[in-house]
Amino acid sequence: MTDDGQTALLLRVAGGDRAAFRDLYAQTAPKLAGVLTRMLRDKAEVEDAVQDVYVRVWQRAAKFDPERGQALGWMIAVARNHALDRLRARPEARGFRRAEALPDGPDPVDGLADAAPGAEALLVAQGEAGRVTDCFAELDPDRARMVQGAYLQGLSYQDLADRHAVPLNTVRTWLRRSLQRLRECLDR
Amino acid sequence: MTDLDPPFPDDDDLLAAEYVLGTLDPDAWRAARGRAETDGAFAARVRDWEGRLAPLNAAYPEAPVPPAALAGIEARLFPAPYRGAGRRSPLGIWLAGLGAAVLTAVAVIALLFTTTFAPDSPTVPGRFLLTGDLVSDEGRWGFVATYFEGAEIIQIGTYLGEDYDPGSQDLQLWALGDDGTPRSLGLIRDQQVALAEILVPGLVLAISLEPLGGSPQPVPTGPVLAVGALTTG
Repeated sequence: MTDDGQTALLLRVAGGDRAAFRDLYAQTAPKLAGVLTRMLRDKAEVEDAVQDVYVRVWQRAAKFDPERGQALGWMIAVARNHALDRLRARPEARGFRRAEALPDGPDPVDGLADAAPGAEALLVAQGEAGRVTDCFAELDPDRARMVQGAYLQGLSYQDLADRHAVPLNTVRTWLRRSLQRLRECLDR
Repeated sequence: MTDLDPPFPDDDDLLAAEYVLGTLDPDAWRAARGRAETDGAFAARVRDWEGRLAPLNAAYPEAPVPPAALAGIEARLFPAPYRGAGRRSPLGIWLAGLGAAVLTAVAVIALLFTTTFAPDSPTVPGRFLLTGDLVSDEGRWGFVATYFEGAEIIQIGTYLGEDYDPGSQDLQLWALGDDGTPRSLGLIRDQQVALAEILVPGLVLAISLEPLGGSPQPVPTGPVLAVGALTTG
């Protein structure tokens, strides 16, 4: 799998190379904007978040270790962490409910149902399938979709419990068991 | 939290998985993030889980990038090194690059005189040659302005620059008033600007990158690439 020189660019960014930073931005910003859009579902917030994420990429580039993975994966982890931080800071994450539906797109419950087939199709299309798809296939389909939806959309246990009308502890137990099975399968 | 659930072989590893997945409640998530920053063993578990779940990243579609994002990022990361002794007036910001400009102007002007304007150059009697070295803070852009007093054009040569798209972008020349208010002198085409006014020594010039045809506003809307003062040779 190639990363189009993004790893080399990120290493140059770690050395303070501003031209490399621009090149890296040009290559990766659409993907990171996609991550943030999917998770935050709020265009105005995405604009701020894109800036925050690339500021962090610049500041933390020296922590990137090419032995442990590719640049884009590391940058997506930075973006997901930032989105989760924003999501968990929202009032509804603190127990306040939104009065209106989220502004962009269908109810996230539908999104969950859609997420898994879409994810699997994309993974297959991009040659990423292999073991991960096999391992998700070993899970109960509903629970596999919950894991993928949680990862892709940043849903908390509370979100999942609310949206599936299942007690919080039940959701937590399902997902933990799913994660454990995934680890066993992926590390096999 | 974890101790309420069925036993798992390794609670820390499960916590790392839940942290990467993002399902923890706000307080637990922040606590886990703190550990990921400070606890090397836990950080290694987080990295392992990021790697296990990374293939899911392919399912994120690309999305349009906010157009002003890069300019905002660079403004935050690379602020101008000079702030005019703490002033935040428009002039202070505009003059941010001027310190560097003055330092390099001497060398550039000396070079100009020994090459272009050697003693037999066709200087016009009674007119002063004004020059200015317009540079960016980071040294990415450098322009030399040359102007014969009273002339209706000013020459702008680029000696250091980056790519821009002349099919969709223009370089625009600005003069700054004493209060820092910019006024457009015109677009730089064929390395010169046709002027509607006579320029004077000491005038501060700036160059910005704008949409084709120039800024739609009476002030720059694109990034200011370089600033410098016009001085007598």
